[in-house]
Amino acid sequence: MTSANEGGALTQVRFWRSYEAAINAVAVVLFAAMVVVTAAGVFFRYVLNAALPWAEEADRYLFIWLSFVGAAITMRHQAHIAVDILVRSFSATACDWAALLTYGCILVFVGTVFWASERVIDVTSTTRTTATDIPMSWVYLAVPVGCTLIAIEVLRLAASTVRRMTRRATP
Amino acid sequence: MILVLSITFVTLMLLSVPVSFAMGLASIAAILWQGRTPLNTVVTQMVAGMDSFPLMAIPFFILAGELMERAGISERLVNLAKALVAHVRGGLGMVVILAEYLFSGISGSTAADVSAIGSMLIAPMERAGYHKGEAIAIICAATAMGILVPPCIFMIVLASMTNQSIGAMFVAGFVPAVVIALGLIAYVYWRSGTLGIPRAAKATGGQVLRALGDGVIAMVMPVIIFGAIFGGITTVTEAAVVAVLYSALVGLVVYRRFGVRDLPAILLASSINTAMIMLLVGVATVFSWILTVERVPQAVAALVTGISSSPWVFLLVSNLIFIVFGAILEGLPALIVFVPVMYPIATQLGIDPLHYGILVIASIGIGIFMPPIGVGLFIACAIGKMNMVDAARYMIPYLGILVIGLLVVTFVPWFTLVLPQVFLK
Repeated sequence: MTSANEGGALTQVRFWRSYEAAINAVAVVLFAAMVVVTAAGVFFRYVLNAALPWAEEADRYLFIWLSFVGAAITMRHQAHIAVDILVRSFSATACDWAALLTYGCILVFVGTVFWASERVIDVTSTTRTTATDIPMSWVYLAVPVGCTLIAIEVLRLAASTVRRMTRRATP
Repeated sequence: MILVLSITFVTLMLLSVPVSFAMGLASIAAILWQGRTPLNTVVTQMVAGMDSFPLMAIPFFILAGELMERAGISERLVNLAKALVAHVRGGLGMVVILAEYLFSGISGSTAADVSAIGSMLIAPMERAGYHKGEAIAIICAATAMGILVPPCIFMIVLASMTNQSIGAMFVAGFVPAVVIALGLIAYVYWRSGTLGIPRAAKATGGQVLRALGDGVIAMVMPVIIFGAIFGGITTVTEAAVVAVLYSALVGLVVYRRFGVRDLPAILLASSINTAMIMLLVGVATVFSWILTVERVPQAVAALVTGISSSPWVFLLVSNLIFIVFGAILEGLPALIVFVPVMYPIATQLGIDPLHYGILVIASIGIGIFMPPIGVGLFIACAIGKMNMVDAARYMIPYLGILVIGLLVVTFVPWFTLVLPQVFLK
């Protein structure tokens, strides 16, 4: 029975590892594309004297997507700036409760933004962008996707906090 | 509405909710409380705030800094600084100050500067006779000064929030940084005399030449960046991309410190920093939109000018605000929260926008290293493996020098404005 349990845990670890690798790859590709498009923009304008009209716009949209996907990776690394002056003096258990409360607040935020983004995407699906001629909603789609990815990371962090708390409660 | 906004924001932050989410939730709470604006505004304002080509200089400078650091540029700059000044009295302390001036001009990230220079110089300084606390304090003070040397992420955010030219803000930082650096150099010189720290041997002509040759590759970088911007060839963002390509070339081909296989990891590390900053910028757009709709800057302005209409008093108060909140909010969030309120007052009082911007950044720089909570001091102590409280004692005189430097720059706007006037006519 234990081996089955361990097998399950192992599959889970594997799953999350490939999930993280996939999300990381998306961010890396978006960033690399930004570098290439901007560099091409400079090259075409300055060297070939034929500016690329779509470069700047495409760049900005890649940037918005990178910011939202990256926000989830930042969440996973717990690298969003937080003020911990008060919490630092808490006991370990109180700290964990504060962390759970924090995760709850983040979920409320991303949930609300997800819900609000639906209407924006609806309205902008018929508007097309000026130079790249794609539906504006594709740009706004970064918002609910980012919110979902952040929520997944927050739930994972919360689960590990709960595991730590139960381990402490049952020595 | 403003009461709801501020109470929610402060409470959530004290619970250690990350600043960006606390700001976002407070904005949502305020909008719901007011009940006239649809919540879609949060989404559209956030995206509108991020949808900016000038802001894209941020990821590119972060990436260039990361590439430069992994290429071993900081080591070579430290070697160059050593060859030039290590033999004078207080030599290693001056190496730190010079290296921070040169290096900050490339990396644009405070945490990167502290850890790069700190991990390279704390141990040699201790061997040379400096107390570890003294070494940490010098590195902290030098990095606080170095924030004013462009390219600087804070300047990009500030310039885009206040509709100023990023290039102008970049040039405005050079001279104030020199003013503060000179103060630090004078103190280090005097202090190492009283501590009786022995001088190092003078580098031979050959060593100096070799260090110069090695350092030249690094020093070309700022020349490319500023040449491209002020030669009218590229925008700041495009210059940042040129810096990315140059530093990748240096790392891959010239110094061969990393291969193409390492690039994804470097891009990923830079995405994390970028996303952290951009989420803040996004929610800050919503936040400052609410402040504007509720006419908060006007109310604060009436309050401030009611007490004293002297621009100098206002500048001193705002220095204090940005130092204290720069410490509490770890730098960038302080800028994002207070600039929408304070900047309109500054312009109303006839203060030059560039002068005000440089003061805000210098103050936040000091705040980041303020004992006992400054995050930069925290990083330096972690690298030096020293207790924060012990290090804080050594930090106090250096903090004094930084504040004196800030006051000089505050009361003599000429230092800030001289270069922009020459370059941008």
